[in-house]
Amino acid sequence: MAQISSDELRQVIERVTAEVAQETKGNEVKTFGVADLRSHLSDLAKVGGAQAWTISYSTSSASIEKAGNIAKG
Amino acid sequence: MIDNKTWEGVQSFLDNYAQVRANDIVVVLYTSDSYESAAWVSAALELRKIPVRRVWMAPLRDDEFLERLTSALPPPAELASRLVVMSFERDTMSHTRTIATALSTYEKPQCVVFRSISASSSLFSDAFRVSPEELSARNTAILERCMSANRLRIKTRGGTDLSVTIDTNRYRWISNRGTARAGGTVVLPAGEVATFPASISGVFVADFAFNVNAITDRDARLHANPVSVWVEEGRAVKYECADIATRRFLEECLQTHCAYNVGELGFGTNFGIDDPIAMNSHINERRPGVHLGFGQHNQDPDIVGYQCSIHLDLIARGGTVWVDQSPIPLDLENIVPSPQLHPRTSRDEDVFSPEFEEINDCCGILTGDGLQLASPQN
Repeated sequence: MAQISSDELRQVIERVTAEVAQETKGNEVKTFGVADLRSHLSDLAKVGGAQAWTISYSTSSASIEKAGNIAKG
Repeated sequence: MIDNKTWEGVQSFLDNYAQVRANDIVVVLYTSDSYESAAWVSAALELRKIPVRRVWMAPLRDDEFLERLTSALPPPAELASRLVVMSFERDTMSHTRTIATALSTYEKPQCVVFRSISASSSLFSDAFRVSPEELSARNTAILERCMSANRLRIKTRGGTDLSVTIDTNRYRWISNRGTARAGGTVVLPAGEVATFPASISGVFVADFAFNVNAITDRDARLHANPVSVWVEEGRAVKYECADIATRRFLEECLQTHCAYNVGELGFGTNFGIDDPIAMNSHINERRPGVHLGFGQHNQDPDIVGYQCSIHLDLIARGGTVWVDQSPIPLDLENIVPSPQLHPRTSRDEDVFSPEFEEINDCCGILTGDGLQLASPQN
């Protein structure tokens, strides 16, 4: 990695962070209508009483998996 | 602005875990809560002149994620080197099956996946500060002692005193050390050795933190109000905590069907982690010390005869483990790294069976064939 000054480094990180923040906002707007966002948040709130990840397994062999709750279904 | 320690952790993640090379194609998946982690890694890759493709995902439920992911992936034939997929989420581990489906067209050696939960500054500044090699040497040191053991006695400064029976032939050991293998998925943060205790009794004092498989804003630290759990024959029979809110939380967790069972005996090995963080996280769980996981277990269902939706880790700071009759205990905060190779078994490779969506929290040591060290102990 080429040597850069701490100022240049800071500028790159700030610029990329702003880009990703913008992407995030854009994706949220694109993916969720207002009603869907509410529905999604409601689902996540339910997860508060359920599971957001799980330890699961492969019955065929030796593996331990910490995976999304869909992995268990 | 990112601090120096966190930035160093980003470099360590790319160098020691992902081992990114100049002609790799890197795809970064991230949820909104982890956009900063995605940004830090993206910036570091940009400075290395390694192109990165980012894919946003909604946690847990996202009907359009497969389409977005697929459009970001290169055709397998165009891969000059590896496809390195990195995901960052705070509370969840989402879309496992979708990712496996999208990557199924690639040959195993072409692709490696790193999935991080508990994305935060601490993930980089603390957990990623320690390399997989360092974790592997410590995990090996514990496995060399414990995989051949029958009985453990575990104590902590906080007051834990547990008597444990180990049945390595029946219950497999898990070793999470952050080591990538072609076609495999590495779950991060790394640094843990665990099994299912054949029997366990005594008192356990969690004076570090908890980690629960649910989304919660509750402060996970327990240092100010430790939780004491009395365990008889593998079940929590009584628990105490001076903090009323924490006690209610425990009650809520442990009243879940089968959650009073001790499903996991774990030893954290990531010495980059020192003090607990407030966030409900796997980072706290990897701290050197002993932890008990209540509820969901880490074995096949026909081996351990219950299923449970909840997994509540209660974590102690440090711990001393006496193994059988040996007068020399394992000090979990001062593990002497083993120079031997990490244990393997003849079925180790089965972990990567392609017909399953394999998320390997570990090397998946199946011990049905007994203990087999690649480099046997002297």
